[in-house]
Amino acid sequence: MDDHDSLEQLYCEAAPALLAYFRHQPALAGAAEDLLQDTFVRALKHRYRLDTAVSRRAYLFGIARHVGLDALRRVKPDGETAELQSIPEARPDERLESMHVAIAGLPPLHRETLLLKLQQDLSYEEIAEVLDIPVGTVRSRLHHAILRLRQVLNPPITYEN
Amino acid sequence: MKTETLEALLIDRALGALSPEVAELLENYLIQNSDAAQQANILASTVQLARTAAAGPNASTSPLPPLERVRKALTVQRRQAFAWQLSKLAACMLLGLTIGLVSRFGGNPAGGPNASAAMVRSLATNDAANAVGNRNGFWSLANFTPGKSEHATASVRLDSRYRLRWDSPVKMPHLEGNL
Repeated sequence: MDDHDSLEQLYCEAAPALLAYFRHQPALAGAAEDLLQDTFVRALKHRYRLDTAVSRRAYLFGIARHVGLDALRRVKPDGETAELQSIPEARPDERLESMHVAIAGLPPLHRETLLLKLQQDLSYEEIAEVLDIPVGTVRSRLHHAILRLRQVLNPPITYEN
Repeated sequence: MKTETLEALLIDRALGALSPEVAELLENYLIQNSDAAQQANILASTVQLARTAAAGPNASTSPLPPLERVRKALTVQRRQAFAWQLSKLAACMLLGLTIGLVSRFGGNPAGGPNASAAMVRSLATNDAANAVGNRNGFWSLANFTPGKSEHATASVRLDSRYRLRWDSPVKMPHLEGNL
């Protein structure tokens, strides 16, 4: 497969998810197409790393995350960078609205990890590669986030075993 | 099963992160334990609701920007990289040329007399080295200069009346003539 076909295939495979990733973030949604382009240009600049990555998808998401963070820093130099991930606008459904508020209330790192799982359906290992953290930390963050959401939306339940 | 362990497994189950074997074992456990099953349902519905809340408004189905933009950016980037490599190569060649010119003509473009002087200096250095060798117990020409001490210097000269005879490399050479 030549370089042209390879690029075409990679773009078709990964671009929709990456574009959605940027569009999910209100602060970046307007520049999503440019950020997508930046992501690919940056990824292809180090082609060897891309070709040898365990998960090309995770590698691209990792780059997209950094591209997004850089863009946010340009917009808000003193802004909180962990606000990278955000959820779409609220829905009329009451439970959905509560969930929206609950997710927005999560600690930024937990929210980012959770949304990578829920929006992009990345595996724990892929999320670990994207965020450059151990898999155990990903699991821990996800568990804390889910338990927090459950706590907000449901009364606590005790087990009897 | 500990509450924390069960809870962790149920969250992994709701997120679809369990291996098939573990998932099967957990399903069997949930069939036998209604409380755990109820908790599993709550967690599953929580995750499902969170997934719905997190889903974007048809973000994944919106049209992709043309690949040409990426190609164009890459082409520009490659040209810049090539120009940078070219400038580095030119700088190296210029540096090499400069060093070559300096070493060839360095300070005296004529070159000739300079070379002769260097040769004389080299010979003098060799004589001095011979003298040092003599001090260390090795043979040297300086050792056979009549009327000179073993600390011979570069000014040592052999008289043309004498002839050096050296029959074997393992034997000491000696001078023949009117000593």
